[in-house]
Amino acid sequence: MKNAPNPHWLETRWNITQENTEIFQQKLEQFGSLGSYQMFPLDEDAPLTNPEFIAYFPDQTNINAIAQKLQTLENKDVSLVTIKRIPMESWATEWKKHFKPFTLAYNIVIRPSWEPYMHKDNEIVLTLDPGMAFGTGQHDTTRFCVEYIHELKQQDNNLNTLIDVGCGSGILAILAKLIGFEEVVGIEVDAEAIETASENLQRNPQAKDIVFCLNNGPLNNLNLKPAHVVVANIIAETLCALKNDLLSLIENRGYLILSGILPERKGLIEDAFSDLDLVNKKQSENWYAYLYRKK
Amino acid sequence: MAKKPIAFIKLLCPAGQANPAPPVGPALGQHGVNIMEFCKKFNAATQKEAGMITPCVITVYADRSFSFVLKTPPASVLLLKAANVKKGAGDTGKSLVGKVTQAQVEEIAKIKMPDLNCYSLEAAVNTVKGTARSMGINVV
Repeated sequence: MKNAPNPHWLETRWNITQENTEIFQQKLEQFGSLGSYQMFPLDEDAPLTNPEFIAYFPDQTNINAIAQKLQTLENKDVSLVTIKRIPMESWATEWKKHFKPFTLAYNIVIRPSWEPYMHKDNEIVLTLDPGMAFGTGQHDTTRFCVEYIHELKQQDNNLNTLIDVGCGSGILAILAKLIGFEEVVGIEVDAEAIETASENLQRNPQAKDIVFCLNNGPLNNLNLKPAHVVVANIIAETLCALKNDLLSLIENRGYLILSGILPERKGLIEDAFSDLDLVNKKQSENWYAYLYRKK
Repeated sequence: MAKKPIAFIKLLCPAGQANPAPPVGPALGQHGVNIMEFCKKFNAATQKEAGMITPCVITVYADRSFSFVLKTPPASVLLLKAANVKKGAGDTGKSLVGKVTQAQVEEIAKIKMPDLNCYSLEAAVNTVKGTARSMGINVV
């Protein structure tokens, strides 16, 4: 699952019977496979049988030698079908083909940086390239946060400062600025995401002066001034673990937006944050988000 | 109306640690699935068992949305853990890398029952023993 240092991978396709896939997968890993998956024939009602087996190897791996060894070892119907050299990120480009401008919430539009878009007068348009970071805006968890940020600003224009904990691609921090928050800070543990967020800020020059901080330690190490609104779109367990840190970032009577919560984990959040005032809860089929207010 | 599936994919990912590298990126990217969304959902659903290799069967629909079902960890992974070894034997049937007890095999068979085509625990135990044999793990 680690990123290979090579700019290319070898994509190999194998024919193998379903009952042998598990042991086959294990052998391939021993021979240096970076990961594999099985693609099944498209028949919804049929059991998942006779998959095509696709495995990835570092560039320059001698695949034919591996195929020969597997034949000797297993003597089971294993056959190598194709070997293809693929650029490390060709799949990422494939995905981008399907990412088009869309209205995220209210008058807020997300425009992928590679797509043209005619900006209408009343719209807030965010130009975004999520890179390898979380946050395209297509996810319910992000939409809930954007809706809360927008609704809070509409209700009280004096809310001017916001901290985004786990800012990913910077989507929430940049949108908060575009919505009207004056001071915005984004915090992230992933250096690559901080780089992506900074690039996205440059793509949206009207949202200047956002500070993105790389931080792997306690949040109060950053000595940030408590904000009117803190937003954290992570996952329930992490949100609970960060509770005291998050509270230290909020002004008295400030707001806390929590998102990224699966239905089966919502009890964790409701218990851990029960000492705050619950203002609102949003839910979709798979996700919950909460708006709390500090007492 | 039910959504139209365009692909069924089975991936093995470490619980709580899916990322866009192979196999996730290429397997899902070619079907236009939002890879980071999958990683986030998978990691959230598997957070408790962090690190355990977890199979996941994904259905991709024509509108690029997806759903997934988590399966029990592979018998090979459970056997390595039970035998406390990192790798199986490279030369099947010739060398032994470790051993597990009959009770451990039965425990693994019970875990695997929902995903095996077996109607009895005995049949599941035999399947797990077969996997152990091909990995060079002795059942004592």
